Parts: sequence; structure tokens; C-alpha cells
Amino acid sequence: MKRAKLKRALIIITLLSSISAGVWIVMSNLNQNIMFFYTPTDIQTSTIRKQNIRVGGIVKPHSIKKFYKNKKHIIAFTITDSTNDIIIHYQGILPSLFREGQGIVAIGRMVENNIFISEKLLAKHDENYTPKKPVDSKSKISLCNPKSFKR
Amino acid sequence: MNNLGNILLYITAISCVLSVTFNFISSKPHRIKNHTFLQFGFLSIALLKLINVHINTDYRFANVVENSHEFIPILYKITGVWANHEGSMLLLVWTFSLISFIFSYQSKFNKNLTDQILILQSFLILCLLVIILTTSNPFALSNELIVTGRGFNPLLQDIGLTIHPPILYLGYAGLSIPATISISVLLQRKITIDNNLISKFYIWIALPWALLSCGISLGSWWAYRELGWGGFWFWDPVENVSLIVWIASTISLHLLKLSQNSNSLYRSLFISNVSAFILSFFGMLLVRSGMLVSVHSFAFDPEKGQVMLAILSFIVISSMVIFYTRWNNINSGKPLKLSNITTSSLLANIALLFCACVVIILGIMYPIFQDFLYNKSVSVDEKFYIKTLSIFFLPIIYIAGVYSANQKKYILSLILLSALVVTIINYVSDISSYLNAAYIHASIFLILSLLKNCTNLSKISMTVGHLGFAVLIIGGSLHYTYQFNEIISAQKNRTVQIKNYNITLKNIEYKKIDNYLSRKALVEIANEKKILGTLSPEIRFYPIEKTFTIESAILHTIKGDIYLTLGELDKEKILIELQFKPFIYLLWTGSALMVISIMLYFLFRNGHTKIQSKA
Repeated sequence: MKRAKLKRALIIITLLSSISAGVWIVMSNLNQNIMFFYTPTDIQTSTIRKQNIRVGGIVKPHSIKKFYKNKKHIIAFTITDSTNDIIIHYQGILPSLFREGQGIVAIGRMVENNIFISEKLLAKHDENYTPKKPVDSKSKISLCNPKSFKR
Repeated sequence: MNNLGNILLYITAISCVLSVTFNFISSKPHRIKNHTFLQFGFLSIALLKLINVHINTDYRFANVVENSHEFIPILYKITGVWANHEGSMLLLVWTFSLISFIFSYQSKFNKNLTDQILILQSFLILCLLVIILTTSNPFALSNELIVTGRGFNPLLQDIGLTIHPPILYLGYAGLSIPATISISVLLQRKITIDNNLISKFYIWIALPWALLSCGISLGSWWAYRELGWGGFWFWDPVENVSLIVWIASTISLHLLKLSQNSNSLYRSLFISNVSAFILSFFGMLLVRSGMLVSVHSFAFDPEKGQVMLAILSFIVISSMVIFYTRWNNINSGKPLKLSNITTSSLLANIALLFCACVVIILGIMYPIFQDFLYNKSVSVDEKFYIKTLSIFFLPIIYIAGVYSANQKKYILSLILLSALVVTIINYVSDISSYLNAAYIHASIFLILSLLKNCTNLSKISMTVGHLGFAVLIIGGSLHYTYQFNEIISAQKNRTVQIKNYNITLKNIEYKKIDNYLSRKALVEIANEKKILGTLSPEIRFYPIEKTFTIESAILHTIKGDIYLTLGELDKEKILIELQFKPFIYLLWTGSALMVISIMLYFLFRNGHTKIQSKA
């Protein structure tokens, strides 16, 4: 009787400890690997530097420029959340659907002079993209609210 | 005839209501089969009507205005039907009715139980119809006077999207059958649960599992080819949702095996069947309601979410009530004996798969919690999934190997042998990451231990399925170990060397095709000895949608894929990105083997039962 009780207690203790260890590992992994999403306004008002983050906004019309820096082909453009702007530098091939007026998410970090160096660009592939058509309430959400690009 | 679609949907809904209420009025549900047939027929006509509307580009319908245009090729007009939220809901409800229809003719259960199951299926179809008719009606008329449509997302104009959603939806819909079988068995008062009954579950669990595997890998294949980023899995919420449903379905499949082997765990099997279906519904709620925003194209509208949430909670609560009140109806079977390797390894893997499922759900839900509690927008990085899931998936592969090796004397020698293979691979080309080395080791161990069973025809389905899984894991690990990419700015007739490859830009071509303009580069790829081939990566500009897409060009070699994408044109120079995707074909081979394994089961089923009866 006593032995059975002891055995049961042992099983419960090992189960509980392994579950809590598992939860601890998972949660600490989770906390290390989350990436915050900001709008250009968020970035202007805070001092996040060097940390990898995501920024989302609309590509401003007539802001896309190309230039060479250290023999690297760099594309610069401005994204906006209609109150604040941020300049993004990106080196590489632009993703499908990238264009002026398109909502995009840039992954990378802030450097000096309010320039955001992006390692990866994501263009949202929404089926209701209507760039230059009369904007109804539905597409307003998908186009003009950068919060809707968070992932 | 504008209202034909709506009328058909309402008639189907009425037929569903009738078949559900009949069950309450009279104890003998009559002619339920006819109702199933009617629902299938009406929904098929409704779907055809929507396809017809899209083919004719009938701008009286809002769905066509928002998602189509008259200049789009006919194939993509048809697939455009399920490339948007409303149309895909109609496709989903149609797949449900198709699965019930097939079930009504193929069911091996007795008549009472079959009728009960079909009633529950009608109820599920009714639920989906309520969602469609209240919030996402594909037949809604347009109230704007628009002369042209808004076009169809060019990324979705691809053969991958033609076949991937229907197959995936058939998988999701197929999951409803094991769930409704379980609930029906609970509802029946006089029924004995034994191995005979349980064994009839197999086809209805295996079929959606195969369809899900096929659908998910097709989606991954589409993303790899079409998106131009060269990846195959993005850990996006929509992908993760399909993954948890697949894992839940895998758990059901293995629990079934375990209950058959040991005549026990019937209760867990039932719970797992129902939860797999509920998870698929929950996934639909997550990705279609706007709670989670992903790169995949689905509408986000809180109103849709409310209706779906109401229906989901009704399904969850009612099934919990049924489980609670009828818990003692299920005999729990014999107590489980953990002494032999087969049972204990199966049980361990089921537990580990369950943990993996929980981890992914946590990863999906975490941004929602953060948003809700702290009003912060975060996203979970793929590193989280890879790191955390490795804790569970590495042991899963080893335990699967132990299961098939079965005897202790084999296990140790096979582990040593696979370690030798990993060392050789590492010697040929440095693996560098311990995690990848561990994955390769584990999967080689699994493959070697499967070889032991390869002559046993009765186990052929299991062997091929696990072989597929191992090949998939090896493909993924080798790909992550040896991949590289580089961007060059190429000039005409100049050769650039990247690793062992010489890349020469031969020409740039401009063309106007169907509904897009194309800029194509002809690129010759050679190694030191010979020319490997000419690739033509392309950029397409779609004037209707006012956007461009990158079309990758892929050269398949034994070592892997050479994946080219085209970038900006700048005076004489053009950007070309070369990505080397080593052994990526192993991923598709592995997935194909998993699907084939279920086909093999159906092929060798007769032989299987004969062998069993002989023994």
C-alpha cells in the first residue's frame, strides 16, 4: 500500500517537473524569438536601434531610387503610415507585387540618420488589392492601415 | 437567373434542416441518403453556377468585380473561383457534401450508425451554409456600377493554385467523417465498441491524412516555384494551421493502430478524432476572421469571425457535453501493456506529436495574446519553431526507427551504421550545424530500420509512409545545410563565377503575352566541364492589376535545383539572384511517398486481410 502510494507520488512528481521544464524551455524560446512590429510613427517616437524588427507601411509614390554604394546595387524608398515616413535601404531583388502604394513589411534594423536597413521585404498578397481604383471601406483597411500588415 | 445560386444554397440549407430535425421528430431517420444526394447535387450546381459566372465575367456579381477581369485566361478565371474568401467557402462546403456523398455509398457501418453520421454531416454542412449566407455570400450582387473588374492576383495565376486548394479542402472536409463517426457511436445507445468497429475507421482517417499531406506539399511546391523567394515553408499562420491539423490527423492515424494492436485506448481515439476536426475548424476561424493576419490572401472582417466563433463554440460545447454524458458508453478496453517495444514506442510518439502540436498552437496564439494583453504587435520568428520543434521531432524520428527495428540487437548496430554514414557525408562536405547532423542521422537510422520490413508486403504501406517522412526530413536538413545564394549584376555575354557555376547572360527579351508583359533573360549555366543548361528567369508586368511578379527559372540537377530570379534593369546591367537549392527534390519525393503509402494500403488491402486471417 505504502509502496504503491510512493510510486504514484514519484510518477506525479516526474510528470510535473518534466511538464514545467518543457513549458519553461518553450516560453524562453518564444521570448527570444519574437520580433516586434512597428509603424514609422512608432519608430520616430522611440529609440530602437540595432535590434531586428519589422516595419510596415505603404511605399510612398515617386520615392523609389536606385544607387550604388560600395559596388552594391541598393534600392532606397520611403514607406509611410500617412503621419510619418521612414527611408528604407534594401539590397537585392524586390519581391513580387512590390510597387508604389503597396503595403509592405520590411525586416531589418534602424541605423543612423533615420535609415532602416532591410534584409528582407515582404509584399502582402491580398486578393483585394485595388491601388488606383475608387477605394471602398474594405480595401481601405488592407491598404491604408499598416497595422493590418503585422504577421 | 441571377438568384439561381442563392436559391440553390437556401434549398440545400432547408434540406439540411429537414434531415437534422427529422432525427428529433421520429426515432427512425428515413431517406437521409436521399438528402445527402440532394445536398451534393444542389451544391455542385451552385459551384458550377459560380464557375459559369466567373467564366462569363458577369460584373453583376460583386465576387467577379472584386476578383476577376475579362482579359484573364480561362483556366485562371475558373481557379479564381476559389482564390477568394467567398468562393473558397463555397468550395469548402461542396467538399463536405462530396465527402458525405461518398461516405453514404461506401460506409461499412450498419444502417443506423450510417444514418446518424449522415445527419451529423448535414448539420456541419448547415453550419457552413449559415456562415456563407450570413457573411460571405459569393452570389452577392454588386451595388457599384463598375465596367471592369479589379483583376486577379497574378501570384495566384498558377497551376499550383488550381489544384492545391481543392485537395487541401477535401482533406479538411474528410476529417469531419472520423469526428462524426465518433460522436455517432457515442450517441448510439446499444453499440459495442470492439476491434471490428474500430478497424472500419481506418480508411476514413487515412484518406483525409493523405489528402492533407498532398494538399500541404502542393501548396509548398507552389510557394517554392511561384513566389520567387526560393523557400518552401514560411511558418506563416496559415501554413502552421494546416500543419497542426496534419499532426492531429497523424495522431489519430497512430492512435488507431495502437488501439487495434492492444484493444485499448478507445476513448483517446474518439477524443483525438473529434479534436482533429475541431482544430481544422478553429484554424479556419483564425485565418479567416482577421484575428491573425498572414501574407496569405484571405479577407479580414470581424463580422465573419463572430459567426464562425459562435458556430465553433457550439460544436465544441455540444461535443464536450456528448462526451461527458456518454463517457461510460465507451468501454475503455483492456489496460495498456507497456512492456513491449511496439506499444510503448507508439505511445511515446503519439505523446510527442501531441506536444509538438501544442507548441505550434502556442506559437500561433502568442501574437494574439500579446496584442490582447499589452497591445503590442509581435510576430514569432521561424527560429522558435525550428528550435522548439526539434526537441520533439528528433526523438519522434528515433522512436519511429526503434519501432520498425523492433529488436534491441538491431537498434545499436543501426545507430552506429547511420553515424558512419553521417561521418562520410560530413567528410565529403562539411555539415557544420549539429542540429542538421542530428536530423540526418535520425532519418538515416529510420530508413535503415525500415529496410528490415521492406520484404513484408503486409507492412508495405507503413514502410513506404515512414520512408517518405524520413526522406522529407533528410531533404529539409540537407537543403538548410548546403544552400547558398548570391546576387550578381550581370552584363551581356560576360561570365560571372559563383562557386562551381559559370553564369553567362546571353540575351534579354521583351514580349507581350495574354494579360501581361514579360521581360525575360536568357542565362546560360555551366560548370567547369560542360554547359548545364539555359534558364530564362522572367519578370511579368500585369497592366490590369498594375503590378509585377517574379517568375523564377529552375534547373534541376542531381545535386539539387539552381534557382534563378531576375531583378531590376539598370542601364546595361541586370540583377540576377542565383540560389542553390540542394536536394530539394527529396522534399517532394518524401511527400509523394507519404501519399503513395495510403494508395498502397488500398491496393494491398485484400492481401493484408488474407495474411491476417491466415495468422
